[in-house]
Amino acid sequence: MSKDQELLDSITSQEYQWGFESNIDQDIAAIGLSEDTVRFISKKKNEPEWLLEWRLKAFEIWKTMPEPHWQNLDYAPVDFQSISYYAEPKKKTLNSLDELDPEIKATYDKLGIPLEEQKLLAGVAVDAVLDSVSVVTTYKERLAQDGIIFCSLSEAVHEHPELVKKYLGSVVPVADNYFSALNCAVFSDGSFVYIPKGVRCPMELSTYFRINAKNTGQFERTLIIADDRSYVSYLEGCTAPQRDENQLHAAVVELVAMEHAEIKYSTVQNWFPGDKEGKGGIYNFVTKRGACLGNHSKISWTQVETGSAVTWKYPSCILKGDYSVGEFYSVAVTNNFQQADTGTKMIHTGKHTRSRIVSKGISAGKSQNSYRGLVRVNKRAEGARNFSQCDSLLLGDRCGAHTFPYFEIQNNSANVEHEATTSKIGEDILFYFRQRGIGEEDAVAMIVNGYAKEVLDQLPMEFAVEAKKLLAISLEGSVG
Amino acid sequence: MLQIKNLHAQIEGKPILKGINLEINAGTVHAIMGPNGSGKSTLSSVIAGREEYEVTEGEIWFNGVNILELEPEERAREGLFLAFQYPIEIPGVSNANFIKMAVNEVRKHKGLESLSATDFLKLMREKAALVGLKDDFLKRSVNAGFSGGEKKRNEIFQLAMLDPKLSILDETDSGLDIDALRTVAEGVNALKNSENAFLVITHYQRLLDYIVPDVVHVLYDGRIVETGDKDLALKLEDQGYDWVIEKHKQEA
Amino acid sequence: MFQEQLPALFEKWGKPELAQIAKNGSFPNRKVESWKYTPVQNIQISESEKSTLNLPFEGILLEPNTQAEGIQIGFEAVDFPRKDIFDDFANESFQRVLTVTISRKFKSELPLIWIHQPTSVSTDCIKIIVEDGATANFVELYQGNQQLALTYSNILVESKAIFNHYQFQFDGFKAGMPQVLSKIYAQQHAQSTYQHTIITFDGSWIRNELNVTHLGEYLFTGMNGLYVADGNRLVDNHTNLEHAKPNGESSEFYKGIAMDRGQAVFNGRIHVFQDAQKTNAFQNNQNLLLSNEAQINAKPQLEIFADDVKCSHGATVGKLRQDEIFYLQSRGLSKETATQLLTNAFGAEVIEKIENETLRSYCLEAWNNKMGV
Repeated sequence: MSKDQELLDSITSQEYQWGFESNIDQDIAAIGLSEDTVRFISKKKNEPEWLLEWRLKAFEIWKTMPEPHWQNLDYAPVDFQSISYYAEPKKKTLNSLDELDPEIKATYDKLGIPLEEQKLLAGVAVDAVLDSVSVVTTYKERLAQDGIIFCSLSEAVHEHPELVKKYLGSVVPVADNYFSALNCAVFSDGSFVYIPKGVRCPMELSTYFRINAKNTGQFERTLIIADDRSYVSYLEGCTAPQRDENQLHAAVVELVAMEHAEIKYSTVQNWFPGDKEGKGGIYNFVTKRGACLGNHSKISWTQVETGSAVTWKYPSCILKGDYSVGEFYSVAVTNNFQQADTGTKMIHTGKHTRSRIVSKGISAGKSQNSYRGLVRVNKRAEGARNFSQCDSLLLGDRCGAHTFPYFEIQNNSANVEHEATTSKIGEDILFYFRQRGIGEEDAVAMIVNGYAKEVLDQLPMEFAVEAKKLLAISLEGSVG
Repeated sequence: MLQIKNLHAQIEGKPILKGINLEINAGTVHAIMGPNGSGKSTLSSVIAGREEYEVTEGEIWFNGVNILELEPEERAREGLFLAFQYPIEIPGVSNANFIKMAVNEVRKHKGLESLSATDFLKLMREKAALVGLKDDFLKRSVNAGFSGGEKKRNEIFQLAMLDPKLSILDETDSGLDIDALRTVAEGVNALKNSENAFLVITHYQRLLDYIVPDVVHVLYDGRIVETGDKDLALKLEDQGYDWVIEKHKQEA
Repeated sequence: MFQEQLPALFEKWGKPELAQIAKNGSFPNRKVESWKYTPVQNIQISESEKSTLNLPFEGILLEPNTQAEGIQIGFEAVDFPRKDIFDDFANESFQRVLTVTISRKFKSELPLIWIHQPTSVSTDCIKIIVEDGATANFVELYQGNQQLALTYSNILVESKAIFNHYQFQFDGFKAGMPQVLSKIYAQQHAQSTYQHTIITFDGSWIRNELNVTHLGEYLFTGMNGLYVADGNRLVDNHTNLEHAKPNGESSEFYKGIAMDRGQAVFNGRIHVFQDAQKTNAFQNNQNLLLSNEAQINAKPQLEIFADDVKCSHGATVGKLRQDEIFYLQSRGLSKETATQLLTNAFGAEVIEKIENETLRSYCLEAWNNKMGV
């Protein structure tokens, strides 16, 4: 066996570090999906009638929709009847962090997400979602002083119904796609953020998602509204226990940016990717979309995707306001048998709108990594600009890197540019590192981080450090 | 410090080095000259451990270690430095991070602690000044978008940072204008001491005006065919390589 | 609608088996990924008179009775992959297909010419074998009035052979609103060269599919195209290159212009197989969008399964560069003339790459006429 091959094979030696399961007392909905399931969830959350009706309508629509198969993905079909659609820790309604189940606390400690406020990273407020419900939101009161609402979506339904009613489903309509329709019917919890006019959110807001219970799907839903001239930076992290069977994650994220508002949404996705034989792992079918409604608004997506067995995800921007800006920065790493089909949609409808796409795909092992992105310039979108750079790096000769950009241009003042390259880490570049005393593993980590730099630079500092480590771990030993 | 005994090496089945013998002692500067295709760059690649080259016969001893057994990075950590003829561009990796990692690897190998951030920065600034590189260069990606001269200066900067025992300069003069050549040579001369050694590989004599060799070898058809002092280099400058080729054609 | 008209028309033309297919089969629609930008419902069918043959340059016309040194004519049954209903129509009618074998003995400088001149819905098919070491130029000309031409070619380029394949979709279209669906299946053996060039600036509904598969190593595939969608024209170019063997090289260069209410589509797929190490594939697609009623759809597509490859693609959509227009204006040209000149130059870049001088001048002249330069 060649040295290259040995090292390639040792990719798999890196096991998933977040694969523990916590023993938490939970209420879990009966397995299966029917109208009753939808009613059960709604009742459990004590929801108002309008929301139940909205869910039921979504469920009716979902039943009529076919599961999509146009993606460059190959996976065993999901049996929607074998999943439980709701799991929550038994003890609920916390008055303070002290009442939190110590097991839950311990879970988040293991993940390195301290929930106790005094231990928090300076300037990060956390909403922690375990399986179906938000277990705790920190720094709430301090944020409230600025009029910022940061709470679980269930809470917002009761306390800010006018906002939820107005914006829920306004960016991703109920019938948008198969998985978003399912989410509308059975969504459990998630974060809600409202930044009032003129307020610059003083700290990073963060949600940490964790799937814990067995045989459950996670269907969280996040809604962020940035009012005129406001700014918010929001971070999202995800992990799950290691299990043999696949688990479904079908989330929806909606962002709304008003005039001169800016939303920065960063994700570090590290769901369990399955083992080295490709067994288990999360199916990550996520719909993320932001609407730049106001003039001069800006939405920027940054994602570092290292986890999940199958990823299907296209964080998008609808650039409706004149002079609005959409950005998408992505690093997607696939290893072993992982499959990712991810990218973005930039829909230019306002005048002088600009978008920028930077996608860095890294494939190793026997994985398949696809970039799929649409740039559409509508007839009235005078002066639209787009630049896309999509690069793929192949580590090993058993993996695939694919690029599917789509351009639909209907305005003759548009200026759209796309560049894509595919390459591997050259022997000569590795030799250069080694001649300076740097071993192959470190060299690969450095090269990959350098390759992904433009994207990593977009992340807030604490997240960037985390993300770099994650990249190195995901690819350990992947090149000879 | 370095002993090469009867070294034979080939690439893709084609023999390039056909029995090299060479001994370099601490405190000396050796030059290897030779016409194009004589095997000069192959020799430096084989010493540094490039895997495309297969050593079919012979030994290379470096400070008592048979380095043919070692990986390229292990040779580097032992104190072997190669200044590349064509330095590689590494987008996204800053010079500072790159050299910090390299320095710490070498220190770890010597059983030393990593340098503190302040000490490291101080050292970098000092060495960068030595080869005339400005501060902002440390933040830029390794060699990416560098001019030919900047790349070569960066090689000497790295040499200064790593403080190796034996430095091989592979055609460091190619692509340099006279000012850059002088800066690079001054850098090398400042680093020269009784503990280290240099092997300067070059086609032309002009670099040797600035880095004066103690011993000059002529490589032709994979063998060292002439050895002399610095006057040998001057003779080559004056008369070219034709006489060497003529004299040794029969043996080839 | 064309789909509904077809069965009756096929009956009338004495092709009941095709009428049957038309009646029972389904036509591709926008939900089919590869037909996403091709509106089939826009095809219009009626009968027309056969126009007179027009040979714009000297060449060897390929017919059942063609005689030339190094050329052998025969007839064979040929099967094409069935991916849509048009393939069904075609395969049903290809029982005896004109087969042209070109040997090393063929030394003529003259291009081989295949003319499509249908009067209704027609299915044309040819099979060409370019034997070891042979060299030939092959031109497809499209002439005729209102009709739908389904043209299929099956091409085998053997070792060390060089085959230059041209499709000129502009001359002789002017009388009506011709429509074309062209499909090429080319296969190449080791060290061969297949250079395909397509130029489209006439017709009403045009879809071209080019499929090239590598069967050997160290070969070259060139794919160049110029496509102009003016008036109400749809031009839809699909290329699919299967880099199935190591050490292959390819270069693809397509330029599109959309104006008036035209729709220009480019879909270029490059597929590099796992074993196709050391592949070098280059793809570039540039588009000019000159009117707000027109649209450009581009979908470059790289699917790469080998790691030691050099692949890159670029795509742009935009208008003419303002500084270039200004430069010409500052030299005294009107803005209109400047635009015309630059648009002409944009397209001419593809034509300039044609190696054969006769064919290059023929295209350049037609292009200059088209652009009024």
